[in-house]
Amino acid sequence: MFLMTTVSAEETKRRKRAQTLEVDEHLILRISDGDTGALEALYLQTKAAVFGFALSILHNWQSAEDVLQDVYLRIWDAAAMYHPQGKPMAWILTITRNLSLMKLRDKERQHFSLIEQADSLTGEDVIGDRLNRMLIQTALDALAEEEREIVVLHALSGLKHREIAEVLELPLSTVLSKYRRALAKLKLALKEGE
Amino acid sequence: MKKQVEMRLADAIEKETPDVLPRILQAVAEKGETREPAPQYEAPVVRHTTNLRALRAWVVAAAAVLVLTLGGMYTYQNLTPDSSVALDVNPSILLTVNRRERVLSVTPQNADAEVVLDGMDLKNVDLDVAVNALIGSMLTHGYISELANSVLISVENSDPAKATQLQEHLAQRVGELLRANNLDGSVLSQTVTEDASVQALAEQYGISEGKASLIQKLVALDATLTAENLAKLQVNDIKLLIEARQETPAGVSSEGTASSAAYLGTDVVKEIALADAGLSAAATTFYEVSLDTDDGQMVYELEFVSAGTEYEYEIDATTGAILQKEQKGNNIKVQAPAASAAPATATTAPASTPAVTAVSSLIGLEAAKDIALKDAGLSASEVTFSKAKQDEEDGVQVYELEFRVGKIKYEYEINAVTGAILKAELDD
Repeated sequence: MFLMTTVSAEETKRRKRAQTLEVDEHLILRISDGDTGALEALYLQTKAAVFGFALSILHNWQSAEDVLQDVYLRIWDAAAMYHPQGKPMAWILTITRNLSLMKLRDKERQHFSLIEQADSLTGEDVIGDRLNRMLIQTALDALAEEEREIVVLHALSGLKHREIAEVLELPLSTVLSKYRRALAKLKLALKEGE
Repeated sequence: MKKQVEMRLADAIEKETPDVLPRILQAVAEKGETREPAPQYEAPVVRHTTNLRALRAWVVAAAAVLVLTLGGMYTYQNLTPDSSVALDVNPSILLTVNRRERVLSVTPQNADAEVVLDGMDLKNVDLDVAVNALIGSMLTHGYISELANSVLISVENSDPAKATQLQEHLAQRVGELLRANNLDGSVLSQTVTEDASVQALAEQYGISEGKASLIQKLVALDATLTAENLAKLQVNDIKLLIEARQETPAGVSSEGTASSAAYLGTDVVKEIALADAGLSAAATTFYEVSLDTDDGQMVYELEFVSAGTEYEYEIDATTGAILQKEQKGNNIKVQAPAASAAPATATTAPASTPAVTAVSSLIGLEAAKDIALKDAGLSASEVTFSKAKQDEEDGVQVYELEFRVGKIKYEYEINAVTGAILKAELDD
């Protein structure tokens, strides 16, 4: 019982954080000064959005994990060139998108199941993990590519629809309509999955 | 405000995000303090193959910039912006220069531009050198290549004569640069003045004012084009559309020919259309095969006539997929030739037209429902149809469908001949 309460409090906290994800621009400035602590802080704050976005583009667990690592190395190298414009998250996601698209081009998209890939990587089959992965796979499979990207960005990055439109280089109207469509599909897909 | 499904997905992804922090920190430690001052960007959004030949020229240009930024740190008298120069390819970069044509500021106007500018400091550099470096970087990153060779230059200066002079100079300069890289470039150039409607257009679609100005001029020339569609296209595609219309918009100078090498070409798409229609080239007269755009996608529009039937096809210029097709002047007219005006070109042997009735060429209401349900990811048992009827829209036979799942209402419009989804809307 106690355990349950703790978990749900933690979840609430996480949800709240995900909802209001605002990256401190100063972290990037500190990274440009060689502060690995700042890199660590930025990583912890943004990794789920970066990984989720990469996964939604690549649809491949291993590639998304590679991109996750490459993004922060790229941030480390490029932090000095970051122009403070109050949009650090958009900058990070643009890097994520570019690296993902590069990966996609290099390696033809692989179609085997996300679950199998994740299992083969970790060699584990913890029930809780498996449920999460199934949920992610069901969600990503149910959506078209741009829908995946839009929903994941909205769910995890804290970006507004207008900012998502900028990152994805799509008109705002397209993002809004695809988002609504994707949510309806998602609702159904997750309901069926249960 | 996030919906519950989103929360669940976000939670699952948060929990499943692998922990690569140790690997990152180790890699960073291995890099040590010797961080490269201008790291290579390993991941540009490259839509087309990188022109390797361009690399040498770019290295030379980059070296020139380096020498100038390191060696040219003298002060100048004038820090006031005089002209602004915008380069659009897909990367959009805005430069302001003083009256001695030294660069005062460089603004990347989209994500691709950030890639192009990566690590370059062009401030205080001579405009020609800066343009050289930027075009070089665009070549290296593959934004300009044999597949997409067009550049748009937009110059603004309060003195129209000076603006025109600079426009001509830069157009010539960029043409030379591309030729030096063994590329037959295509250069569009224009002068622009401050204009609220252009600014609004640029703002609305998140594009540069130079591109917005070009789009506005092109839409004025051809009302079938829309700003919304054109805004999604790269400059090369816009140049191809201008060429297809055989008329350059007023106030725009055009040199060279845009590359259509990224697209299938008219011969290939003709074959695709003929194969689909089951016709031979010998029995067919094409009267239009041209590049066009539909919803930000490059397409070929084909119109041809065979045995008294007119055909219209729209084919994806990249994949060759048939997006729309339509037949006109079919056997309804054949059965009653006196009652209708057959197309002028349809005088040859109309009687040989296969006896396909207009009705049987439609996919049927049930098939249309299946298409809509499949698109929505739903099964027939889950939904309640509130509307399902055949209608005509702009001369095209369509099925209009409406159905509900709980409070969510779906509206579809399906092309009754091809089964293409023309409209899909959702209300909740």
